[in-house]
Amino acid sequence: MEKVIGIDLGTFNSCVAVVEGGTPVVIANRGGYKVTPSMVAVTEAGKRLVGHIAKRQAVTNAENTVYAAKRLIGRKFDSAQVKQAMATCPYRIVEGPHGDCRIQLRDKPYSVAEISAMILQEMKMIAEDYLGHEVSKAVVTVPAYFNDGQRQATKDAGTIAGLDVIRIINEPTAAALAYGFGKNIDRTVAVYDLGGGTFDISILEISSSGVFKVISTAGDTFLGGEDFDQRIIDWLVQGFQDEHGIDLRQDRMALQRLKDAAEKAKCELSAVNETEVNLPFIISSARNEALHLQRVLTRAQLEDLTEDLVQRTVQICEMTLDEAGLEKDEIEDVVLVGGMTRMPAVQRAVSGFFEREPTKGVHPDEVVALGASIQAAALVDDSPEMDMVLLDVTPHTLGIMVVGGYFEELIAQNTTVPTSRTKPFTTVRDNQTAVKILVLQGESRRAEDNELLGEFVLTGLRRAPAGEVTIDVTFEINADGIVSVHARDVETGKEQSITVTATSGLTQDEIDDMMTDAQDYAVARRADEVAEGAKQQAQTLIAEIEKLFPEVEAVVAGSDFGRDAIEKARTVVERARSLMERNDAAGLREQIEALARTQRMFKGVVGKTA
Amino acid sequence: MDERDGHRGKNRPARSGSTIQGMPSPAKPPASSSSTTETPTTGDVGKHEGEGDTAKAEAAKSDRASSEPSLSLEWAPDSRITMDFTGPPLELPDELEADEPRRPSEAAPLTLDLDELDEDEGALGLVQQTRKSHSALDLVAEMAERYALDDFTGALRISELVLGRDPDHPDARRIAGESRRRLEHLYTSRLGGLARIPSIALPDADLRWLGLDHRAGFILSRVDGQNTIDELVDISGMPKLEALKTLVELLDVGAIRLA
Repeated sequence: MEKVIGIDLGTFNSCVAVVEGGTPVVIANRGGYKVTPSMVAVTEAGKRLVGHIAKRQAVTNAENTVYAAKRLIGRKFDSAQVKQAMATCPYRIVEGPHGDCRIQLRDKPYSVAEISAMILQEMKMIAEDYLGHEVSKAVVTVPAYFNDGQRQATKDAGTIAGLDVIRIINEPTAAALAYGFGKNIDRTVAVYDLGGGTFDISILEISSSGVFKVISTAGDTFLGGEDFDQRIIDWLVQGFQDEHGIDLRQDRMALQRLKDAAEKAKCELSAVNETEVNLPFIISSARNEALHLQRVLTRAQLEDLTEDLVQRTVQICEMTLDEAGLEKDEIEDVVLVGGMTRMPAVQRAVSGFFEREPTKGVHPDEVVALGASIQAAALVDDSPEMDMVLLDVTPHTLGIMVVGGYFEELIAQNTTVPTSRTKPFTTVRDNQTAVKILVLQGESRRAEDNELLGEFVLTGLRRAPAGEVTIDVTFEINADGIVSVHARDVETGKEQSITVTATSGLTQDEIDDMMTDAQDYAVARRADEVAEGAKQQAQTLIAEIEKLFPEVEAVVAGSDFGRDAIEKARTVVERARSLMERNDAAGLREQIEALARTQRMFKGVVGKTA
Repeated sequence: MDERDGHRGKNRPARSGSTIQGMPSPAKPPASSSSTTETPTTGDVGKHEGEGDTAKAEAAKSDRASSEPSLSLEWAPDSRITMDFTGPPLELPDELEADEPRRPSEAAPLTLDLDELDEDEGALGLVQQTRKSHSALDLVAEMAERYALDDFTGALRISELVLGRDPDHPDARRIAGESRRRLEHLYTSRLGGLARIPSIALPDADLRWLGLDHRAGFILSRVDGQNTIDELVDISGMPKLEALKTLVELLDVGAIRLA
């Protein structure tokens, strides 16, 4: 059975998991970390960096390091969210050829899907390294509020990365899936997700029959762990300024170190009551003296610095419950998702608001990826234990524009899909023979504030006074989330329809080209890894041989016996060095055998005389 | 760290023309206490400190001193410099040979009356705009000399100065590029290759006693025992050469070790 991986493509961190022997497991990356920063950078030399390595240079190479690309995926360049990102991101966001947004890294504009594809490709490679074979299918999670365009763009990102995204599922659904997997429970749960850059709260119903249904979801796309880090940075910077009169924010290297140290201190304070931030040689003074930063931060201080941020999440929880028409006591369990939920102050706020302790059974960083992997396994595994139904809801209200520029709702937000609804409308002018149907998505009463999904015209209406011709408009969403809209003249039976095809803002040709680039990158990267492995192997062998040279020389000293072997060994070592210098990977791989033989021979000689 | 690639001790040719006979030249008292006891002889005029002229050159100067006007410097006990001209009086030859190089004291004095110049000819402007300054010309020679001596750090520094004035200077571009390449190679060799993985070799408390600057401190903060040198160069945000040089410095002071 083919392995299908589950990927939590997060705003700030991503995670990949797979079900093995009926148990979902998170796969660690090369560095041993189970989460990988969703960051991509291009260095001055044009090299692509993804993950931790990109994060470690994010401040010093800020203009060419992309983070939180997820906030931009599937959005139009002129949208409010993109404008907000442009005001806060250090990298350049430019307009794409189809009104989409692109990110300029060095001299090349990249589509947002392409950037996300680089992260997905990294996750794919992590999984392949672990599984030992190629992976071609995945289930990817997205926030519950993502619209069709954003979901399609995420799918396109998967395609570019060489992954067939067989299902897109909502993050809270995935979290609930991991939480409820194998438990056979009927519960209403709240999923409180405070990640690196976003906050989401979702209410779900889980049934013992394996049905997971999102009732309501809300959040703040600009509230997360980095805001907490920023408070610590500000505190450190202010303290240093008071002591030395130097603003560390003016120096990128200092700022990068502060950012790393702030995140580390924040994490440590979830487990201990105080921590020391120690940054030697943080900056040089005007007199060229190296200055050090050393301060103790307590948990109480951190909680004081970030109290308002925690309170904001509580307010959003309150609003979401109101919208769902639920009381706090109707929530039977609270699932915590995201690294920030390890903070004791956050846990206290959540338990205080929901008046119950959050569940401890799931790992906040891994739970979404684990849920995605469970869904992935369920899609390819027919066994009864993997039998489950995920009922997603429409993330936004769907409707049409009516006279006066107003938005008329047909399918309400958070309606479970698949669904269908028909509503009658009438003409507004005498002898009106045609009607234009504008299909919109959004929550505003004004049509222009919502997103236009498509439009079509129904012609050939009977000439009659205003209000006498009735047109039935039907919205239908199938299990795959595809929206189709029909308009029918009730009297004549004339009909016109449209299927709303979500677009990511990329053409098929563009996607194909990006796929080729991604494949080339993957091939080159694998070749580099092989070459690097050969280099390290050669270096180890050379070091061992050189260590043995004096002993071998001592053994053969005073006789000619073995002198030529020593000379040959030197030649082998020199040749390997020369191949390494020339980056001749193929030659080096061949030379490794000669090095290994030499090493064995030397060990044998020394071993016999020992 | 020795940035001259192991050639610091190499003999460099004495600069010709640094000893100027017969004309006043800026001079300064010897810097070291031992040299204050020396009594300069006639003919040492304008000799640059520490240049070590050869005995042959000294003898030649001595010969000339008897027939040519020269300036004598004497180190007075009260630390003041006294100057006086010795030798035969100045005389102008009857006829000047146009192509023969002359010392300034031998040549007819030139006078330039700016008011006599026709402004339309633009003579002054032409000289100002196109002629390279003497210092620039000297820099190019110095750059080439340093490069020839394998002093790539010096050659690179001077080539950057020259490129600052003339970004398209072909020799400076070539020497800058080549020096960078040679230095990168040198530092990479010192580090044992870009695939090596550095790790911190000293406890935090001891690191503070090292005389590092904040740039070295930054690179040190990126060393985590996992990133290779190549990756550290990528994440340093510094030019590759500077990052490698800093890593070599850290290795030399014992702050890092390589695996």
